[in-house]
Amino acid sequence: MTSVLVVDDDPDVCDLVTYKLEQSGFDVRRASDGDAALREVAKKVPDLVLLDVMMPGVSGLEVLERWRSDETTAGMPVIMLTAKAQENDVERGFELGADDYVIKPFSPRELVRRVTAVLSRRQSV
Amino acid sequence: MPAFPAAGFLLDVTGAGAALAVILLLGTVAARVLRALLSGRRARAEQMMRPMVLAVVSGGTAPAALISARGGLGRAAERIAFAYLAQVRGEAAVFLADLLARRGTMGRLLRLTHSPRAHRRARAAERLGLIASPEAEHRLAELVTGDHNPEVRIVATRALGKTGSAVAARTLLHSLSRPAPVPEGVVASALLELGPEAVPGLRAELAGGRRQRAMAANVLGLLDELPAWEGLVENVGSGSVEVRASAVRALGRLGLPQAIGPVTACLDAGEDPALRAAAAYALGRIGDPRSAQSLAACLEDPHYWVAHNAAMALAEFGGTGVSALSLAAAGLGSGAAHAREALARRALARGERPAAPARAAPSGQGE
Repeated sequence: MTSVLVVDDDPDVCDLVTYKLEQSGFDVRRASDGDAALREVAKKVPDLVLLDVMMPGVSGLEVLERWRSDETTAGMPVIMLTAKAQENDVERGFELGADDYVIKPFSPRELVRRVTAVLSRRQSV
Repeated sequence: MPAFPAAGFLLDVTGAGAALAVILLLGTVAARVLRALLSGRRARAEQMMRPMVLAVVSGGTAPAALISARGGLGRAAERIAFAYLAQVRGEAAVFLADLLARRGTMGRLLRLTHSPRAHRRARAAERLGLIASPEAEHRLAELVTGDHNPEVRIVATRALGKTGSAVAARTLLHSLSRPAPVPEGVVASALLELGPEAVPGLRAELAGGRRQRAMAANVLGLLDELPAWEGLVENVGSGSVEVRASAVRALGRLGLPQAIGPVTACLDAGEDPALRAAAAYALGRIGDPRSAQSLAACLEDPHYWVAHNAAMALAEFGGTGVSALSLAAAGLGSGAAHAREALARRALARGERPAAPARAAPSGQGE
């Protein structure tokens, strides 16, 4: 089963994303901040990460930077979750190696499509 | 024997103090226990309702228990539905809005917008913006223009921006003409929140009143609405400096070279300095070296922002602009300082070391 790590400090967003992804057949793990995300990935590298940009403590961009500088996680697909007001962070996310981004508020159906698309793109490379 | 009654009084006071402390302690403990009980009950209610609401978000049929839930369960269902509604768009938002309509929540919120208490009207307006149904939108439009409380009007303006409705754009723009309108920044944010849905209304209002045209021009520029450029150019020739400056700034943001002629004409010395400063800034954003000569002529302008913006614009042009700035920087006029600043900023942005400013010859030593 394809595993996805959802990283967001907002439990409502985590609930929505987790529910929709589980409904689509993914195995979902959750982390509520950057430190927890780093720990989860250190335990087991997921097939894809949905990563919120703005979080207390270590930000999503910092987390992404650390993953990209580590050879075990450098190729791990990451989709950034960002609020409309933080669209400038998208550019920075792509510079750091994000595979795609989703702007909140989001369409759950579109989110699943993006996850599937990024995973199949990675598999075909 | 005066000490005896005094000691009795002291004992009375100490006893009363101790009793009061015990009462306060018991009260605090009781309040905490009550809060923990309520919080636990609320958590249990949410735990029960959450899977049902999540199923609705995914397009599942809302169970009767969710539609008819009242009391603590009903409140929990609504809290969850509104929390999710703030995070989703598209069909998921439609499913949740439909659930709230079927529960009678929307009707209740519409009634609350008539409450004599402003905070209730504001709270209802905020939630109606999330529901974004035609009825909600209609009532929000009435609040934006008609509520007597300015804070309710502000909340309703923001809420209307969240509806994503094309009609809302014109309502928001027209609200600028009412006495004591909502601050322009709030209206602009709401229009930007509407995004592409606002564009038809914004373009139509480029032919509207002065305030509407100025706001529409600014927001169209921020939305990068390239097809609006002709309407913006028409407004550069308007009779109002506010409208002209907004149109010029928007054309700068769009960055289309087609706008160079009308924008450069705004640099004319006979024009208002605010318009000329906006035009210099816009020409920098367009970045076409054909306007370099007109901008170089502004470097010695007595109005600070005209000369400053002209220098910064020239720095955007590369070779032609840098040549004009280098020439001005070597001079002694007021434009030299602007030119040196622009060259230094350009160097820093490129990761280079700025050239040291030329030292003026010490007085008394001759040339």
